[in-house]
Amino acid sequence: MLFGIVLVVFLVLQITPGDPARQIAGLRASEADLEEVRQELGLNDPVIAQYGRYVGNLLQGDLGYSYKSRKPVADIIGDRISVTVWLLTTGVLMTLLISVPLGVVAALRKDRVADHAIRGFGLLGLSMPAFWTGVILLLLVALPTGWFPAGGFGDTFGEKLRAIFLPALTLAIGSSPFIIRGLRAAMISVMESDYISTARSVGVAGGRLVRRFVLRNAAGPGVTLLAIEIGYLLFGAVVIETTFALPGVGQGLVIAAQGRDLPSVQGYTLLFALVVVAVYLLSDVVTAMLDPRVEIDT
Amino acid sequence: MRRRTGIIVFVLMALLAGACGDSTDGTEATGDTATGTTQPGTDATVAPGDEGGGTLTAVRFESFDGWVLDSAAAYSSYQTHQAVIEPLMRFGADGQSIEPGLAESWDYDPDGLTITFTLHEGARFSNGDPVTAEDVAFSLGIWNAGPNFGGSWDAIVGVTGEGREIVMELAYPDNTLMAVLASSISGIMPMDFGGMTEDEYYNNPIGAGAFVVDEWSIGGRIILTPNEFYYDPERPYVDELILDVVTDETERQILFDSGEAQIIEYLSPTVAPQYDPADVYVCTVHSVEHIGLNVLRPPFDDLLVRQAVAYAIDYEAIDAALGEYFGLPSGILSPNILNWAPPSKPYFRRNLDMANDLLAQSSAAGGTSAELIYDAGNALDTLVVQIIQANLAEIGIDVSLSALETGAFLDRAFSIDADMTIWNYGAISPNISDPMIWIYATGWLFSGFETDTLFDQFLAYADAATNEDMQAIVTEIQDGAIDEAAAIAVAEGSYLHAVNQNLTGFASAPWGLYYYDTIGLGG
Repeated sequence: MLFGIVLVVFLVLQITPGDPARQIAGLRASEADLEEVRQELGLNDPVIAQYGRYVGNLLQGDLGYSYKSRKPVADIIGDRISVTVWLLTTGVLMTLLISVPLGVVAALRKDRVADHAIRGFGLLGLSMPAFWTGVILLLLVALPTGWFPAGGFGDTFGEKLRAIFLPALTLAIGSSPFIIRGLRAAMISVMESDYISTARSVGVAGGRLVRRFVLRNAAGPGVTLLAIEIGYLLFGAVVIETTFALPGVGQGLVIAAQGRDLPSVQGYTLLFALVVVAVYLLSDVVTAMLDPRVEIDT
Repeated sequence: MRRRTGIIVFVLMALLAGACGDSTDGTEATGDTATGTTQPGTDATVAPGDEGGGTLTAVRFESFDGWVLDSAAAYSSYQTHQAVIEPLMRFGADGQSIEPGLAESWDYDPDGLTITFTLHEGARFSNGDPVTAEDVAFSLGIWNAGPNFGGSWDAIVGVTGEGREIVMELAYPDNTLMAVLASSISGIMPMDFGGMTEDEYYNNPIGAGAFVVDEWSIGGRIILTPNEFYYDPERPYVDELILDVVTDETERQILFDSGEAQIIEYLSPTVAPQYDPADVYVCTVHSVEHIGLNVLRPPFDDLLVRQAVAYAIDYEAIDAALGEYFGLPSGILSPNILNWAPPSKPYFRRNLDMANDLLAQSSAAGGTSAELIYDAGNALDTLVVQIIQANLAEIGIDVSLSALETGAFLDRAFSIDADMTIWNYGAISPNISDPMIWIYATGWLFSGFETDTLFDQFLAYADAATNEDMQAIVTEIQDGAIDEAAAIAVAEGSYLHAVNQNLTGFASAPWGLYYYDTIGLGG
């Protein structure tokens, strides 16, 4: 699968219009200068040879060098990744903090006012694009209160926490509805199962029933949904980091694409793909740990 | 804002070697064309000592190109380079004059073929080493080796000097040289990169400018702090300069409104009305929005078709659509720069009858079609191309619009691979020779029209005896542009910045570049 991703990333950027040599040498560089750059980068080689070289370098952890800064792409990504990790971690935490209680309440109060209100909130969250939610939070929260910066990332832990709060909340508002709906449906299904009736008949009830029997058995689909959501969150980070001027990999991808820095674009794209694959793999493992009925084929 | 790409002059300069004769100092402002710079809400007069340090944050949408001076393609790069790697001279905010940089004075003797600079007392690099003639000579070698701007300094054949005196020996007089030396591409670097390798230097650049680099990355934040060895102990007036790239237009405005950023560089005219008018700094009219018509193939290889297009365009409709920061075009050369002169005849205005008559007499009688390419990321162009499409449909020219990603657009534009190309340009140095060279370097603004005539005109300009002679040549170029209609100016306008009203000392040249070290945070 990873080789497939690498191949797609390589081919897509091969067919992207534009001459990388001109990008490096300058728009008004002479044909001789352009030719020199093409030779230096091996751009005159057959595509298959370029692909072989690209894969060979990748296997050695070499993502190439940025056309713009001449720095290793791995270093450029490394400089930005911590911001995105902050964003995703905080975003996932907020998603869980919002969605688990609301999902549980919606399931336990099925078809009552609370359930309808929570589903209505979910619909609202789903309807609002992240860039719009972000701007609204900036205009209605950050600017009037001054509690949060209007953009950028801080230096100290406290500054970082303040800077990441609204972007993470934006992510959470967009991703919580999926988890709420998934968790609600899974819990309702579990609550209607025979073993819950059995548990009730032997006197297990209330919070203990929910925690030990319902929630644990309903968590499997929730974890899978969360993994899917993390994939979306990663791509959402491109929008969120742009909206909040956060110097993470999402913003880096946008700037690299605008500057036609193809090696950097390749590096970022590959990173995104790898993270999604890794998260899905992790979700399978966690699901198996939560539910003994699930086995992982090896 | 549009990227201003490098100026290629090496061919011109090489051939200039054959030019000779008396010459004037091209830096003298005529006064005729200076219209001043509008500075709402700012005080261009710095009151040293009133500013009290602090952090100045400027936000731009363009990524920095890195520290290689020759690789500068974005205005954000020129802007940053000059803060750290200062040239011997600076351009004035009026777009016409040259002011002291590292050199406090200079004496240009075109007859003696020398320029003698006197450096500021105590001019030092940020590592503490004094600036010497050897550093200037070394920098000259680096400048000339660049694939983009290399050759701009070919007139200089030697650099000598002792102490604060730097003497440049010229092979021939050159009216354009002083303007080039005042632009950021002529930044002074320490000899042998201050003992570093080239790569090390460009990762940790050292200059004799007002700022030193504390942190930087391409596409990321740049933090500059004061150079403790700067020749002027008063400047810079801030303790820290932060330059951020923010790609989202709304976020840029929110940062400005929140006070977290004090300057938003190169506002799009389409969003400027959303700012408090008192915050919008309107540079003197300078940029030229134009279309290039490909003369190398039908239908625009026919002069009559080109003229028909020129008369079919509704300039007033474009003016109205672009808003208050744009106006009707006065010629093809960027105005409000030293030695600019208007055409001797009226510039194109809409005359549909004439357009129809011309087309009826042309090889495209009965109608034709053409492709117009534009940068999809440019809101201004996106607007203008639709007007042009509608205008040309009225005379039977079916225009198909191709919105291209910036890189693909530039590739096709520079390859002259489209029937019509829309673009916008301005200068980077204070002399009309700059736009002339730009037009030459772009194959007459992406039209493919022959540039031999322009080349000869440039040589004559560089060698002209008086400013009047130079302006006569400029008028000749403007007239030729009307006669041939290979490239048609459709509007001219101002570059814009959002500037916090408390700032002092903000003063931008017509092309939008300004100096950070003169800015104080004010009250």
